[in-house]
Amino acid sequence: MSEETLLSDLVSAFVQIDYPHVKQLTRKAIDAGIPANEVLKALQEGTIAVGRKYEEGDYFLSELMAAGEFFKAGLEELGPHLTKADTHSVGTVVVGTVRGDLHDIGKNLFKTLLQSSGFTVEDLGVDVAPEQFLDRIRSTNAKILALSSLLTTTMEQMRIMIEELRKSGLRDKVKVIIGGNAITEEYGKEIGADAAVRDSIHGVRICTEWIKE
Amino acid sequence: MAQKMTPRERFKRIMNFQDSDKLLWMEDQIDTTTLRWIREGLPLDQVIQSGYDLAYNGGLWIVFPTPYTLDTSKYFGFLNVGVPSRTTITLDLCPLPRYPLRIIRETGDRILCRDPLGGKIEYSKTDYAMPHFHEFPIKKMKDWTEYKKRLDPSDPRRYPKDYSNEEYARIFEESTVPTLIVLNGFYGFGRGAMGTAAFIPAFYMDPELVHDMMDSYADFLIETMRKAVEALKSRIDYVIWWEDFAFGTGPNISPKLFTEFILPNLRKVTTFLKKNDIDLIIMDSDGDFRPLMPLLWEGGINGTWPLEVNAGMDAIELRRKYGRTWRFMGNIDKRELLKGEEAIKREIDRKIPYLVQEGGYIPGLDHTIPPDIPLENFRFYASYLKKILEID
Repeated sequence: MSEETLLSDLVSAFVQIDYPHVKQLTRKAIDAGIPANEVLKALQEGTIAVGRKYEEGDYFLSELMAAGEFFKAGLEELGPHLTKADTHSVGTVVVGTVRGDLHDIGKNLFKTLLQSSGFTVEDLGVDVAPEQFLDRIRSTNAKILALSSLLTTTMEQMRIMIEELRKSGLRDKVKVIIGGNAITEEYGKEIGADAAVRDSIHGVRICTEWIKE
Repeated sequence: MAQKMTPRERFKRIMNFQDSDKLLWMEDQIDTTTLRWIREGLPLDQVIQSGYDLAYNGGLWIVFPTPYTLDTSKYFGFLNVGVPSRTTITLDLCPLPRYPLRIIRETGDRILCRDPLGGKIEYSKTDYAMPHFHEFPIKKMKDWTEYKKRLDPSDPRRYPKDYSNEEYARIFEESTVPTLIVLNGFYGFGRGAMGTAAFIPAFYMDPELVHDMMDSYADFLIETMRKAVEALKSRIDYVIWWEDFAFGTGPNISPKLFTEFILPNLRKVTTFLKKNDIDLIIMDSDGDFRPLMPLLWEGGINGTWPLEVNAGMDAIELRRKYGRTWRFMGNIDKRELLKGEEAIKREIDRKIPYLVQEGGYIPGLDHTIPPDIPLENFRFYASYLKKILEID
């Protein structure tokens, strides 16, 4: 099987959410000596293709989350073969669930999808205080801050965080994207976020566009 | 003059698209909201209730004595979705024996426990908040094989020690409020045992495990309920089927997965219930699960609560689409209660007259009353809704 066919089969297996084949073809590609960065690109392409099908309504959260897990498993398999150059980062995003909120499923999915699109992700976890976000933005020089909140009762922490960014003088240096089940564009505008999304794929697309700017 | 109906009779008639002497109104509430309202002037002595109900059952709640609770249902006049305004069968559907409760770490206002259902959960000690799940009991087939041993339907502890069908038959016969069983659905069960982040990908990454979990859970439910269901039959008015399997962007699992893994098992359970004259099965799920509604119907689910507006659920649209089939509860946008009187009126006027006229609908907010709603706004909502429903 040619390198090209193997990698295109790997992408197809991703799109068909066929885990046994994704696993098998990733291993086969590594064993065949295909450069790790090429395999990584196929894993990324597969994840992005599933994301596209999700956006088009053909797939649901289950397929999107599965693709994210396939990507993570593939990356792990590929790990020892990757060099620093292979994992060139397109940009850094600081992500976290705001103070008072302990939900992390949406945030974790967003993180995986960002990684599959070439971002370096600084994940601060859940229940993150504004000062922790600020410290990490300063230490990593990140250009994007992604805030997650599932609960309507903790959404206000996003407003507080944006206000803290402003006070610290970082607001103009950082794009802010907010996400969560109860988030609306209207709310995003009201609190001064640069983007407000309810699904991870949409969020990743926006971050990718920002980085290209 | 016609005899006054009980809330239970009203519930049954409304849920069967029949006329009723009065309409019903159902809400669900958490103590944090009640505490806020007490600070805002709600009379405390009128909201303390003794827990005379037979208590919840189902996997989410461990049965324990609740001698007192805060409950505003009598004060405002709604038929509470939670205790104490309904009668439930106490069935223990949790793992038995329980896992030993153990405190792992206590820091500041947080406490991390090994919880009795087998997970590691972090709670806030000072405030109501959703707990943070650190670990779930099932990761792989070997965990499930062990866990399954705790789901023995013949364990005598599944029923109260002094349980008798005759006694329950008498209580349920005499009950003036609806009687029910609360069950965790298939997704709800899997998510509770594995956590969402592991359970959803497992449909693709470990299908053998998920199939075995779903198949075994169906058998476990049926065999555990059998004694009560076969004896009590239509004295049980409805089943609450807890799933919570959708977000604002759609269902968490695709119709394809639902069809393969859940539908046959759901049909098995609902066929058993319907064979025993328990016909009303109301699914509790947030989010937008519209793509699954035809499959749920096929699987025997015929009612739903709370129909979350923010997720795009619109009971009017669904009633027009499905006709007088699905029974609905909720769907009044809770966010409108934050905006004041005009917004509340608009929301009620737009939905309630049509939905009530069509039948098979009980008004209420589109989820638990959240703690950010001021007492005065809820008071207005309550009085305006009661006026429209002509209940007092």
